Amino acid sequence: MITPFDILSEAKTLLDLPPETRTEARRRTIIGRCYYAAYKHLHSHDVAKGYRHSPGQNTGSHRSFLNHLKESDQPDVVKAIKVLEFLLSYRVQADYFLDIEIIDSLATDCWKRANFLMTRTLPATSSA
Amino acid sequence: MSAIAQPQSETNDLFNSIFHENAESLRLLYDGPRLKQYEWRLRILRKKQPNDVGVLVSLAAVLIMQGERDQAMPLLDAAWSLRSSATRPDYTALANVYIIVGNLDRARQLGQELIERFNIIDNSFTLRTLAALCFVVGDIPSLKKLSPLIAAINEFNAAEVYLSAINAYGLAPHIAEHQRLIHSAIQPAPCWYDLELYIDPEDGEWTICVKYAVRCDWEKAMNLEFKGTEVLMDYYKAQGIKPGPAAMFYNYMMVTIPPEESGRLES
Repeated sequence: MITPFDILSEAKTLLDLPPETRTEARRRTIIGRCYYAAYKHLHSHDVAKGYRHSPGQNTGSHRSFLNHLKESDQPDVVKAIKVLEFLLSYRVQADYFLDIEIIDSLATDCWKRANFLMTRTLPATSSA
Repeated sequence: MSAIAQPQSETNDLFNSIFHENAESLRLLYDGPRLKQYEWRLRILRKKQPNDVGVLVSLAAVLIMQGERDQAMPLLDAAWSLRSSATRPDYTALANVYIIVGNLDRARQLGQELIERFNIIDNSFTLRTLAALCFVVGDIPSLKKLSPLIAAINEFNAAEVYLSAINAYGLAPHIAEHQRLIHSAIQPAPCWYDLELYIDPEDGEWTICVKYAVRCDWEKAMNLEFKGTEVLMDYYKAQGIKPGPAAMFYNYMMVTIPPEESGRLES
């Protein structure tokens, strides 16, 4: 089984490609990998304990997970939410809004934020 | 077509390029040479049309984009004092630049004056911009005034979407203070802002996202996001309101403009 860090590592591999081959399509892929790495990391973290998405819920599972986290007032969780929301916003843009240009520094920024969340803000816990 | 650009036509071209075409992708912010060229052209136009609010606000905007806020403020003050001659686009642009520099009182007043002065607004771009402006300054009465104006022309009713989001969290009595606190916490970093309102393609829910462009490294930008949220959480705790959902009822974020890409050193 792969881990969220494997997904983040794939993003880094793409990010480290020579600039001339780091096409906009790849930059969009990088942002998507960063988001899913961060999302799965948080999903398996202790902070997600007690969270369960019901199929009948009136919202998508990603949004309902974020809403669950927002019940917390722990500073590190708040930081994690802000990072995840940033990544989610650009993941949606990267996947759906093809007319809005994704520049190179944005892909780099997304990787740094995902890495920060996973290694510094909320490192993996025993249940991860 | 004349080989020499007419001042008004050039002003309009620059205004549109600064406030419309580049708004979404924030592309202009990354293009130091083009910003410098716009600044130079606008300085020439200002000599020809010293009382043109469009020129003043455009020049102020490109200076702020380049991190030259001190130079921009007198231009904004001049545009403010000349606003009786401003067009609708000038008004909305001036209000938006005041939001960037954190003067929400002036931005709010401009929005209110715009609604009063141009009683019938039938331009969809102006209506959307105005609705966004009222949301960002937390002006519920103006959103309520705008909503029927928008409904009357059968246009997408952004004012209603903002009002619904605010009401869903019970934040109507707090939204003005909420927005003021964010802007106080992040000043003087922003050099641009953009409000996005869209339906999430995956879950069909409205998403409100306010992006502030800042010229600093990603870690400083993240700290500004955290700082704003912490301030809000403290505020809601003091009000006896569950802090997390209220403080983060919409998404605001800092988009980093790396100094090396703008051709300017980080201040």
